Amino acid sequence: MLRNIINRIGIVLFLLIVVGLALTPSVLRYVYYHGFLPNNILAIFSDPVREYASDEIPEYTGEGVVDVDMPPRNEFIDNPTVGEGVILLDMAHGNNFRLSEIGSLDARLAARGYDFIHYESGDLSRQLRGVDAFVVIAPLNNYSEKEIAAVTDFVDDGGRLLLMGDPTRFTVEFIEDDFGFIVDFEFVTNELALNDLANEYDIAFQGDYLYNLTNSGNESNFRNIVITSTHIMGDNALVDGLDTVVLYGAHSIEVGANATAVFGGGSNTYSSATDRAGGLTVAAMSANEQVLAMGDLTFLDEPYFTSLDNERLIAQVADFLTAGATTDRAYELTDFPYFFENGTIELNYVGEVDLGPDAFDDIIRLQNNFGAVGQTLQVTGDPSGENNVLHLGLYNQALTDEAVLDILAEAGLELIIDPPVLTADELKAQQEAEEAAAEEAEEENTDSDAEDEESEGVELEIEEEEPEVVQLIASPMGNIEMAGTAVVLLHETDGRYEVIVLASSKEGMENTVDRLLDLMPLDADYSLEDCLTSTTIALCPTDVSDEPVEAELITGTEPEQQDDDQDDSDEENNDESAGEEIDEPEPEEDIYRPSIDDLEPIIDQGTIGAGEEVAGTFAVGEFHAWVYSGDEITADILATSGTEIDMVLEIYDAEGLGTEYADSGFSGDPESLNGIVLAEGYTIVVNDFGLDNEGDYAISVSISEETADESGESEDSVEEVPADEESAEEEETNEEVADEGEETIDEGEEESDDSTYDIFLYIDNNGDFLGADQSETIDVASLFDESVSLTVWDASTGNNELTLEDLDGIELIIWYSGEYREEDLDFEDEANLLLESIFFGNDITLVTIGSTSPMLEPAELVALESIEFLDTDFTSALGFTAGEIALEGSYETTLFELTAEDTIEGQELVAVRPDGDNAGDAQILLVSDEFVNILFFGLPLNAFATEDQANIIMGIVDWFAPAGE
Amino acid sequence: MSQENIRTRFSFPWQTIILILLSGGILYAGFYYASEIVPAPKVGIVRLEYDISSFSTYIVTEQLAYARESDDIDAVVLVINSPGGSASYSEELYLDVLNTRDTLPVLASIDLVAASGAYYMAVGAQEIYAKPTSFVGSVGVIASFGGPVFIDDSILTTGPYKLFGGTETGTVRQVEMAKYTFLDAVAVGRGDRLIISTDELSRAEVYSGIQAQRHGMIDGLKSTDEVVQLAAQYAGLNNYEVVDLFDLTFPVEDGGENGATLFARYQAGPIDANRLWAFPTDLPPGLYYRHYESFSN
Repeated sequence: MLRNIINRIGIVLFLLIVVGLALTPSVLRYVYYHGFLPNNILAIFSDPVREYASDEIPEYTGEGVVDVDMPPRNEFIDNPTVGEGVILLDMAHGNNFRLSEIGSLDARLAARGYDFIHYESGDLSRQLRGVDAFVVIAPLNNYSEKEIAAVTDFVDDGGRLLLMGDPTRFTVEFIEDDFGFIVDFEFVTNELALNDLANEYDIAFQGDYLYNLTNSGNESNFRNIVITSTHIMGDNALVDGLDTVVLYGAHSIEVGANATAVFGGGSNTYSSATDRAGGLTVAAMSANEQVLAMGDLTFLDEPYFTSLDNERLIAQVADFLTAGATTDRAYELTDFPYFFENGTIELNYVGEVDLGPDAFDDIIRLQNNFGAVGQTLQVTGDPSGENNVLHLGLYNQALTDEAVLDILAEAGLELIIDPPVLTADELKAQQEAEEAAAEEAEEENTDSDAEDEESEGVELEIEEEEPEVVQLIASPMGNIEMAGTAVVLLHETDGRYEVIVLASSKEGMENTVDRLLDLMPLDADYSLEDCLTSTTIALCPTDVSDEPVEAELITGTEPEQQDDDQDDSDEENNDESAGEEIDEPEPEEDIYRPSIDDLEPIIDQGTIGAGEEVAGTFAVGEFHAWVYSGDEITADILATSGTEIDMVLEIYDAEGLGTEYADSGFSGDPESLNGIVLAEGYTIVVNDFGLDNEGDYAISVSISEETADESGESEDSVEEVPADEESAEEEETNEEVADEGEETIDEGEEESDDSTYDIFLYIDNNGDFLGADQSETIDVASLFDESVSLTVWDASTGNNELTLEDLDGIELIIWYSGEYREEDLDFEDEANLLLESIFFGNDITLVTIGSTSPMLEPAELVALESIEFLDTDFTSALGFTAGEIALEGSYETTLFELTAEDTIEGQELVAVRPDGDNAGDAQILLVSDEFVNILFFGLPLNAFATEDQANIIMGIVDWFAPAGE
Repeated sequence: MSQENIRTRFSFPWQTIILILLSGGILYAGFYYASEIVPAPKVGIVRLEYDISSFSTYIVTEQLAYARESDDIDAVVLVINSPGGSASYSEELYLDVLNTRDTLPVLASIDLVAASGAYYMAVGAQEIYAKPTSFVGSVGVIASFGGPVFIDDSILTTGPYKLFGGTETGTVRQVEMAKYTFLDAVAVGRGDRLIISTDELSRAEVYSGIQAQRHGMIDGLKSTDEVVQLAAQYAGLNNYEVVDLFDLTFPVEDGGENGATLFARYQAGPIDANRLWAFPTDLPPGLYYRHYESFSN
């Protein structure tokens, strides 16, 4: 029994030992990895790591996420004061906003009777005349000094200015490589054009944005800052009743000593520029609260304008803009007619005027013009004293209008006419009185002898010559002759404006009224710039030559006596003009007129009549002739072609001599001649400019409209106009003739006074430099002597843009390209202008000097080391003799591909290539015909010895200079 | 001596020999099966590289699932080089990390950058470590606006926003709520360790590692190896192996069936910094916890 027990114990021990042995490696392994700590040993049957981890794990439920709700729309009922006016909205400075974004403000303004008009270009001061406020939103382009002055003047005069910035509207500058491709761009967020205006009022928009990170301090985003009543700093109507507004991205505004902060961000509102909070203004006012600056635009946009009190704020911004209309706005005469703000304008003709058909036309025109700017004009015989008034009249009649004289006197103006200018009736009465007196005297002196009568007559004549005529306007600006001068005066009484327009003659007055009407469109140019002006007075030229001081304003059928007087003066004018016509210089017989016989080959294409259009097809080198058939007419001729043809249009008379020429365009451009005379046998000749293209063309002949109108009027006047009016027209015609004669004489005087030769030197160093050494360029201008008047234009400076005005009076253009070559001429630039100047009948000679002639590009270049001068007069003029001369070096110059055999009439070779494959090819070429004078000098001046260069230049000048210059 | 005693004294020690042999066999068997009974514990490395997208999320969540299900993975270290990405996938990673922490310790080690959604995932980890100049933070949201809302006669919808998803201002509010979601996740994940205020955090700044440590956004400055050691320590391991869980989750021998071939390009390796900072080229409409520096390239 015991043995069995011992045996069993042994078996158990054995098994334990076996198990222990089996597990020992695992235990050792576990201890190796996990250590020998008791819990680790126990953990062999569990996972202590997992228990540890589970205790530490947070649970994410999302309960901490804040709700972001739409802000409420605070109740607001707009109760606007309805008026009428216009707000000018700046759209001329790259203003970076859409009109839809300011729809809420536009609506609030509309509710107040105000409309936006846009300033897109032109004179800002002109356009500010008729508006109550100027709104500038997010401009990207800077303001000029003139524009800034216009705005400050506007504010000084009582206008309102709203400046709105927005940090989301900034300039993007594109960076281009040398080839003009955009390679990069840059956001310019801190250069605000708005400050050009704001700084004038001690306000500066910062290039930052404001943000608030607190949930309560922003509206759904950090950059949407909430402004509560505690952040409102000012006390004015703009913030009246505001509790909480939200701005959706706003600049901060620096406020100077002369400006006032209106509201800003709270202590948790930061500026992105500094990341510092507090003291940040987003709206400020200045200039007696006439200027409002706001750092945000987005709050005007939907749906943001509905947030909290934003709607109220927008309405109060509209109130700010329209409040200027109720304040005293200081107007000047140049603000015409926008000081006529309220009520009707009464039109009053000064003195007693019987209004006739002419006046009706004028009145209707005036009414239409005033109507176009929203004003009403009514004619009145007697101003009511309650409305604005526009007085029109003559000086002579103003002397009888006490009310007008009072206003003039108040302005320091006095009209002096001595002796009085008599009306037709007065003159007639005076003549009758004189005749009666003469008859009476004759009766009394019937017994006197002939000597007595004669001596009496002499005495009478002496008495008639005596009176000294004084017709002056005495003004604060000095005494001014009435004749030729009009007075415009602005007078204001208790907010009621009167404008007086006076001139010596009806024509002068009408011209002056035209000036004022030209002022009316807001975008009009300033039309008083040639007037002597003060704040309320303008003394303007009437643009009527020899203007008489007329007695009365005749606006309809004129009195017979007046006609008689006119007839008398007509006769005088006729005499004068007849004399001038005789004096007019006859056409110079030696003027060269090209012959149609010189055109070869010329192909007869048949006939063309008035109102007809014909078509043809050029072969290379052809001139086409169309013979006009029909009555003599004044015609407009149009020649059109495909793009391959550069049309030239010429007219030859029945004798085959050229009368007209047109080649103003390039390939594909139409050519036209308007208002020219065509008679039976005249020939219309067309050709391709270079005679080297073929293609289709069309020609049309129509009766000139201008002539038709004029002739129509003429016929009407013959048939319908009474004799007195006809004579008046004749007077005008005669005056025109007299004027023209005077201009001709003046021109003649000017020309005779101008003894210097006017030369335009165009230094063209565009393109590639062909020479080996840049230092080879020379100072061409220094080669001219002092006898010429030289204008030098350096294309490389590019500071100014060449205009046709710069070529006024120029007789010779020297286009010096030296060793520069520009193969691809841009005919939009100066090159085109220079070519225009010689082809448009300006009688300007062109000389091109250089390795390549800009007019012959593209051309092959061939090296040139010497040239051969031919035996020509021009060779001598340049100071050379016939023969070959060596150049200073080797020069790549244009190959003209023109030899003596190829030349046509008008072309003369002066120098050629002396040797090689191109021997005999032109290098210096004169081209002279009825249309152009051109010298192609096909090599640079530095190819010649220094001592020869000035001789060449002055030789050219002397060659082309007209006799006497 | 009795015959019996003589037989006892001179008998062959068969029993001893058998006992020794048996013991040796048992020991051998013990050693043989010890690696099965007590497998070598492992610290698994899970790498989040580049943008968080459906692809990278799948890769990471598969590895975390492997770690959870595998007995020999005792800890996980997330090695992060990512500027973030899709908001929803970032949240998926965050929640999956929290879930994994039910099973084993998960620590995060930030190399170059753990910005925005990548940091969102990191805050799910038990502890976060970075290098002094690692980029950490950018707690914020990016979203693009939808187009204008209009009525199209050719398309019939049953609600005003069926075609558009919502209003612009609605999007703004969604984005703002997403921001608060992010902030909440950081607050939950970091708990009392977070020193910086959530308002300050919402500036979405990217902080350096040392700044992040001072703001309580991370727990310290350590190399990835140190983080692995710490993870092993939290797992109670004296000795352990370090394995890249990608290799275990997507074994090559699977012949690509499980994605090894498909994801071969995702093998751990040096980070391409240019790609890391590259401007996102394809951001379809949606919310993003994504950091990028505008036009830095």
